[in-house]
Amino acid sequence: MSTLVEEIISQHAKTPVEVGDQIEELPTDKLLINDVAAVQLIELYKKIEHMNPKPFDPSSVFVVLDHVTPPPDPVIAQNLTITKQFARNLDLRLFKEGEGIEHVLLSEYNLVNPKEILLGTDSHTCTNGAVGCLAFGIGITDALFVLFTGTYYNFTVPETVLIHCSGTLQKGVYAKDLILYILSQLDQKNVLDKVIQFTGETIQNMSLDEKSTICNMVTEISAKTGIIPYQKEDLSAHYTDHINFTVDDLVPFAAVPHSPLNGKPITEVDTEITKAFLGSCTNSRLTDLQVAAKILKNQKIKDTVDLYIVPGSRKIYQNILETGILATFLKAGALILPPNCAACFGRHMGVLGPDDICISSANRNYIGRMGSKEAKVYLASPATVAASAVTGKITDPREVLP
Amino acid sequence: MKVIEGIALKLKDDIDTDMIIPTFALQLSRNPKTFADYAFYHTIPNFKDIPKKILVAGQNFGCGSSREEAVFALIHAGVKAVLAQSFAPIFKRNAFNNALLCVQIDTSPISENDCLQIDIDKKTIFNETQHKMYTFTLSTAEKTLFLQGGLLNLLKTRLK
Repeated sequence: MSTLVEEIISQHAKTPVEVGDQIEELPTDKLLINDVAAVQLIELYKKIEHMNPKPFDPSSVFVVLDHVTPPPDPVIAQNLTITKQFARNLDLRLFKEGEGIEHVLLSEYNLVNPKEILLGTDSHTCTNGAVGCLAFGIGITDALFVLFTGTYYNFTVPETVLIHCSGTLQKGVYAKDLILYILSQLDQKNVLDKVIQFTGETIQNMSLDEKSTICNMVTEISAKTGIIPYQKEDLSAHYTDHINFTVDDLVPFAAVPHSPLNGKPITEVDTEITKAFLGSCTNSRLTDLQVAAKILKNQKIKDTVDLYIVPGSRKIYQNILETGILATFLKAGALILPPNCAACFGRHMGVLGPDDICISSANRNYIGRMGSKEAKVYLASPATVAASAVTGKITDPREVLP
Repeated sequence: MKVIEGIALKLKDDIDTDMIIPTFALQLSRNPKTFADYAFYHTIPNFKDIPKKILVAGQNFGCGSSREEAVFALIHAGVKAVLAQSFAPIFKRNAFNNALLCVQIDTSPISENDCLQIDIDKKTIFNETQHKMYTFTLSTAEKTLFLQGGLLNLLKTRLK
């Protein structure tokens, strides 16, 4: 039997394929381009513009202005102007500043479907594997090729590693803790350039928000992508590896500086913080903010800490406004930012200085990622971020959850 | 016969693309040549002035962000090729899409400042300093992309 990935690729290539096969031009369904990648993509486009190329399907190409919006300087403001013109000239589907983060928007607007192929100019395109599609990040040259041919040049069918999770997560332990734990346990060499397919009752019982968090972080270990089947899968297919995790005893996890793979039980992490960041394509969805609100209700953020909260989309922002969560955040002393990648991308809106120690719900804590190369970033769940903002030090959310 | 000559510049495991080109440099200018000034900005002073460099890295070179500016930065900073124990997939693809040669070999025998000659046709690397020869493989796609000067040239042909 075929793996899910082989099945998806066979359907698109219109011929049965197996691991290792090469496809000269793999037809793709959807293409995602963000504002940062757009800058150099448009520079490349200028080199072929005279050939008058046409997008393969303008309504399936999404241009999302999320990384550095609203613009912090005139150069970026002009980049955004040029990107908007580009999208409008080619009739691409444009998501303007403030609409949200690309990997939050696609599933929110039902723009990706199971068994489709989505390519995006962002390594976290893998997030969308949560809906059961094959989604992975590409550079701008590949994106330009996809844009004007509807195909990905010379694709090799990747191997699939199956990760099976059984058991129930304890109160105070979330999808983020699970993926940080899994990343800390895997051998990077065994998953490099392979698809990680998540399965088992723990995964199947998760909401789409939680599944998105799981798939989001597989790129941190240089996997090809992550995928969670929409329907029950055939487990008799040939998987390269089959790894089991039992999650009942899992405790909250934090990835310590300077790698997302440095996950440790939070009981082993003891540090004061100056900043707390709740946002990003990993954890800025409604359920993430609801958990944080539960912890921050009638609480005050420690006066030595700044808490930045960045809703993942306009719709999520609207929801927390209407349900009173926004008021909870404001009363607790949080600083609310408009939907965008913000300090996770390290370019604006809360970047870190050399003395900062940040607890973040995002996905990367490389040296300099969120600003200063001296800053220290710890990655954890939204609950841990909220709990730590209240106490001023990295805190096990199970101690404060009502 | 295509031969690349250069001098080994050793790097560790898990060199991420934020390290190769930091975020703040991505939108300073629309001209990709300017990325050369910011290659390894936080970790290797005056990287672009180091002559004839072939990067010789450990595992998982180019992990993290999909930013192709990392490849532009290396090319414009004069990097001749990258050898590593392994590469992160998006980076490696981006590199070949711009005809920057990435070779996966056991890099542990190579020392800092070793003189290296990479022969693309023979798929060999001669370590002149140590008088050692290493062999490597390239996929058909990688060889095509390298010899055609990158994916943009293939796209131009495709669009004709």
